[in-house]
Amino acid sequence: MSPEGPGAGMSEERLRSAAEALHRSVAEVDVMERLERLEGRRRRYRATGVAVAVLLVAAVAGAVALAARQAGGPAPLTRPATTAPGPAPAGTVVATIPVQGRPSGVAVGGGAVWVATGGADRSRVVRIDPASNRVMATVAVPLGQAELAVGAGAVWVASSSDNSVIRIDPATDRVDATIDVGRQPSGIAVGAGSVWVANALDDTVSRIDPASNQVVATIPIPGQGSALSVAAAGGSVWVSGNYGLHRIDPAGNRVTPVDVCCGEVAAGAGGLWVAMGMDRTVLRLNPATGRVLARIPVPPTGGSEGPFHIAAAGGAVWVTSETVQPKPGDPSLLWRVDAAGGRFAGTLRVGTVGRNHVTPTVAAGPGAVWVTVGDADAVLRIRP
Amino acid sequence: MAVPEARVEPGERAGERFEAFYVREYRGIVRLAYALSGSRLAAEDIAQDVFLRAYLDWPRIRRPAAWVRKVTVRRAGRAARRRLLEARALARLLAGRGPAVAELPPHDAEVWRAVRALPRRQAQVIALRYVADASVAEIAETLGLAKGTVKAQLHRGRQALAARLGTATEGER
Repeated sequence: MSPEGPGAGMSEERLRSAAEALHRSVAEVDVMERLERLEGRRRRYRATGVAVAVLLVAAVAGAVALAARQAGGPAPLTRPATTAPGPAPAGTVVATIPVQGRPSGVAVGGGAVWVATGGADRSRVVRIDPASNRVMATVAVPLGQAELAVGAGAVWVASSSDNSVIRIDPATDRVDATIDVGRQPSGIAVGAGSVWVANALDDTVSRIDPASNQVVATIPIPGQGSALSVAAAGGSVWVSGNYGLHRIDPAGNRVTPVDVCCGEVAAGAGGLWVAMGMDRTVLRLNPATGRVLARIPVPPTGGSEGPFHIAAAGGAVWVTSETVQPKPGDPSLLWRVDAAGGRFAGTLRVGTVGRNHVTPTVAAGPGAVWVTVGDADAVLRIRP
Repeated sequence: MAVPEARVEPGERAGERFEAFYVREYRGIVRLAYALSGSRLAAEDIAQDVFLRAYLDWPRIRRPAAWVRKVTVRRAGRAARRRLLEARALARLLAGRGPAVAELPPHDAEVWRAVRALPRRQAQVIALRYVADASVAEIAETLGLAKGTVKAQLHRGRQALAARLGTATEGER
């Protein structure tokens, strides 16, 4: 039965059956004949020139219309023209640490590296000692797809499988509290004296008081799919989603929109950063205002990757790649951006896409960057 | 370990010949256009227009498969555009050149009608998932959404469809 209930299972069946019917409906289409016809149209357009220009203007206008909602930036459909491949690797892999489970999130803090692993039935948070690169403890928790944050004296784990935040005490490696939040928490950050949780299905942010482990506010974010990623920087909390970026003022939980769209958001390295997968760009924002300070393209590498997960610390921003259509054998990449210079600074292949691909996630700590490689059930320690 | 700079992935990069890309993707784009426009008359014209744009701009398109899907879902959902294309296709039909796309059985046509009645984004996500067989990551990339949003839209869309189709099914019996 579908996890969404018998009705949704029924609709799944109907959809699959209807998709099969679509397959049958186009079976008689002569593709080669259509290609010849298209070639004829293309020649006519090329011959007239003017028509080509009109069409391209229309294409650009369409792309700009799409991009207008996505921060008013350049059209996302074409490759950034100014990008040059960086000659330097992003860093050096100095340790590969098996975690006996599929890692889906990582955070650094409290003297350790914390990794969420496994699926809904066998999930754990793994503690790695950065001095020895060894797994020192595992904490069994219900996770699903997990996000982690460290701060306010605890490790905070957003569990999408049971719509809660799990508080782990780094002194004992035990679960201190389980706090109900909104549906499908997909982003978590600590800042301004609170823990902030972006609830993807509710379009809300839960504000948790770490002193009481209570949700003290549930803050609606306008728009469907508007609360997917969260970061705290510059005295504000920043929430990213489909409808761009929103700023929460911790003083009164007031929400104001910022004209920036769309991707995972991270704080650190003196800034606020957004990984724009579609544009293959990393944005640097003013953490006080949300204004775009720089658009930093990452270079094409021959694959179809775009920035997805992002972390920032120690003068650098680190971004892991997500592919349009992950295929076994594709590279999983880590990009490095020089925060001060605002430029791309290197690429590192951190893995190879496997059959049940999970996007690599990244966290940055003192002197080391940690990347989860779900395709290899391991965490990489990288020296910048 | 650095990544080789010039690795070409067939089907994903502009390094592939347009013709090969077209042959592989054309029927899929017609299906997508049919599902979201509801018009078998217009579906091929939508697809051809999208591929013409791709052809003309081929060297600059970074991810052709995602690009043609994205443009298709946007164009197929525009009613005014659809009417124009239908008029063009109807003229062809009257001239004796009928569409090769077969009409869907009523039971299946009802499903896509219900999909088109969903909020636009849900309809696009459902169509990409079930018609284009795209993964959550592909849909996210194609539509410029976060994966969590795609999952949420899929969830909501399927729930809404269950309600609509469930009622309709019961009504028929």
